[in-house]
Amino acid sequence: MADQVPVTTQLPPIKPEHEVPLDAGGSPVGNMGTNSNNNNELGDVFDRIKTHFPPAKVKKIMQTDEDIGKVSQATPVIAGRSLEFFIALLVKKSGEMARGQGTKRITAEILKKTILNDEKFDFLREGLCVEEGQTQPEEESA
Amino acid sequence: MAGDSDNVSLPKATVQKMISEILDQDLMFTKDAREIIINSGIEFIMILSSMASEMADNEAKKTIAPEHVIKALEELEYNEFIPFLEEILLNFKGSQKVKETRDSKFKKSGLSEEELLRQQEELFRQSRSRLHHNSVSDPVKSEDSS
Repeated sequence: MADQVPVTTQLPPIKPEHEVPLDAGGSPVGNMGTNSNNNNELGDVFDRIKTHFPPAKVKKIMQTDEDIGKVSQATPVIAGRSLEFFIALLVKKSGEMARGQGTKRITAEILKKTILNDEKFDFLREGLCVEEGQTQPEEESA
Repeated sequence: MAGDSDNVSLPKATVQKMISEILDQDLMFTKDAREIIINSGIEFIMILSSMASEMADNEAKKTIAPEHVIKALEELEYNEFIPFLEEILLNFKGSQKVKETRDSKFKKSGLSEEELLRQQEELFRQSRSRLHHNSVSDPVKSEDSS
């Protein structure tokens, strides 16, 4: 009698631990729309101004011109603030000119170039020529 | 410039501080450049004044008002300044009204001049009485210092 004993090989269960690391995805970068409102840009620059010209000083400068007569109390205040805005504009544009040329130092040269390039500063050109000692145009604007 | 003989200038410290406020922090401003800013500023204020004076003349006014300055800025094509200035003008006029309100404190007291005078006299009398009382109760004692 031949007894055939079936040999069953039982493999130990392999349970690999698949630990998937939970990487938190980066938060989506907010899409900032281009702000085309130039007045807001100006407002930001103007808001930085905390120092003001004394109205009495402004009035004195205004009245060096003999044609200027009486001014109301509010006028030197408004004229002074206009001057601040003008200076802010000039400083801002000369800053842009400097960056355009790859420098961080705003020199007289850059400032002159700014003035010559921008229509808004047309009335300053004659003064610049005189300062540079170039040929003085003898135009007296009465 | 012949105009420079007047020796008119903007205060340098004010201009310097203003430039520092306006400029981006990594940029630097040289002294020469600041001089040009000052000269440009004076030129601007003179032209603005002349134009404002002209605006006043057009309206047959002898006094230059803030409105004339604002019209002058339009003429010179600095319109972008105007909204900010109009706001500043409103604030300024507002502060003037507050001042006027304080000045009219007398009018609002509701008392006649006679009544106010009587009150003042009463205060004087009380003060005199108090002074007299103090001088009686605390006689000055002479001290020998030797």
